[in-house]
Amino acid sequence: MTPQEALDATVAEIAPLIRSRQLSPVALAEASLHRLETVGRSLNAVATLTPERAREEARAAEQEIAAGRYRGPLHGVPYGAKDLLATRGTATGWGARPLRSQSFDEDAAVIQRLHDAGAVLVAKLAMIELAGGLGYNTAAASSSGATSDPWDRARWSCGSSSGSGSATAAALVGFSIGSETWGSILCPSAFNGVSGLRPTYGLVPRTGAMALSWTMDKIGPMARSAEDCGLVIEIIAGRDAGDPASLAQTPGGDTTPAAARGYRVGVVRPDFGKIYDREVEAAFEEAVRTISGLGVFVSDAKLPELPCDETAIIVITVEAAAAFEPLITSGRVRELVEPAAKWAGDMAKSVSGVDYVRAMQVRRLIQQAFDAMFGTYDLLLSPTMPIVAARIADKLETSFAYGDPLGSGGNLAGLPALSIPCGFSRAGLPIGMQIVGAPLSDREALSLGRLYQENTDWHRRRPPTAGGKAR
Amino acid sequence: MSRRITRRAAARLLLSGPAALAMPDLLVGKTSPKAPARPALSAAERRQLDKSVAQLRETAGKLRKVAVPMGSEPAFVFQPILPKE
Repeated sequence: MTPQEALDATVAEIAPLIRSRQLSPVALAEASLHRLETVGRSLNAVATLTPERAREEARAAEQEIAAGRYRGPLHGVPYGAKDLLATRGTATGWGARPLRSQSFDEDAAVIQRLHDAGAVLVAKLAMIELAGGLGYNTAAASSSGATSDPWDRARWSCGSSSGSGSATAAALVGFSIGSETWGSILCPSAFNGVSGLRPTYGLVPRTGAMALSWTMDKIGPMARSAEDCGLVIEIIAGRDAGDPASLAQTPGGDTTPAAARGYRVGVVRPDFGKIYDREVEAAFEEAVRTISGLGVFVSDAKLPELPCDETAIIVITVEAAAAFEPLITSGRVRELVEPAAKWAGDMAKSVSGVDYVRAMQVRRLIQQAFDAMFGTYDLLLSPTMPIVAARIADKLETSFAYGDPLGSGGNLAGLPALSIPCGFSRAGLPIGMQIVGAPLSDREALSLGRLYQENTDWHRRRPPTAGGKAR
Repeated sequence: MSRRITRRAAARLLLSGPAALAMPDLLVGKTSPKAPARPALSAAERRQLDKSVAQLRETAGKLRKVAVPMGSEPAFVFQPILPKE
């Protein structure tokens, strides 16, 4: 396998080749850097390349492996990180023009853990400014400009982990790291046809990451298979003293495909007739039929009636305004691309403290409602997004009139969710479905994702920009 | 969960409002000496602001109508920093 071919493969496939020295981490890093510089730049997926660090880490990996000190499946694998994770010696601009030259003295905890596992950081990846914390209405609301979907460059990669989704799909990196407050891992995973895990809230420490909403921010992997997401999450999960919300507990269960047989899965069907793309509906229903044929018990599930979207809006609006207060009061918020962002922070102040606490009380009810549901179901299944990738030129308030059916509730309750590809539209655009579990059931979600991917090949398709044929 | 507010409405809510000048007393934090003065709002912007604030307050109002038992613990997390072992 050449380094170029290796970039197209999954981490699980290339790890044995790296270990047996059939694949050089140095050659792999060079191939990745070249593709990022060419294809990545043309997709607007890159915030900053990290060639010096990449070469240093790749050389170290090669020497250690040659000396018989293999660290594990991420050793020597090139990856990219969303540009809200601090990296020593490289700018960390949070996708925002006024913070373009911002830098930090230390690596974020996740970056440090990946370094310790031998992974090779090749790039900081593009993102929506401030991860959308002060609102945005165009795909171009980023210091990098709009990130293209490699399946159709006129389409948007989604946000806010735009570069992570695009770069992973286009095989520029072995895997990437994204973050989600409300939809920012799942939507880019669905639009770009990659596998992305939003972990249980608190499972991955956010030390050294930009804060948007302290009670809702999560960091997670985006990769080319559910199995790869599992490999990455095992490295980056775990308590860190720098993040008071990080959990000491680890998920139970196991991620093997066989473990998913016998799971009780509740299917959440939104009103396709009203708001959904019919091609998304068809692909999702086919995926449900496939899963029910794999020894999984599938039945319809109905979500409780609670105002999840309203609650999420209040919580995020208020916490983001507090998080970005220095940017707002300094006036530098006016340098953001999104014109309305400069006012959104101030608008949040029309919400009273009592309203915020009220939202957090309703949030508790939402948690309890999901907890009751998971007495009946091990996992929930739903389309990730009701639509395929939107056009870059579209106004997002129009194309995103309806969102992820489990997005607000799932994020408010801190539930893990895995988005995996489950089909394509006639125009060749990926369609994703999400597997949602109770807190700390991340491995169960990965297990079902792996079982599905063992029996389908949607996740093996690559866009034309990945260097191969579109399949 | 129910979707009593659409994403479109949410987007409008979060994106449509030049809110600051309707609440001039809110901006009391430290300001960089180099920060330019806040530009005046046009009449159209002021209307947008009023609408956006009204929508956000309406959203908060909907949550006030949810039956929450008195004394319900909000979904905050606080842990004291314990002595190191």
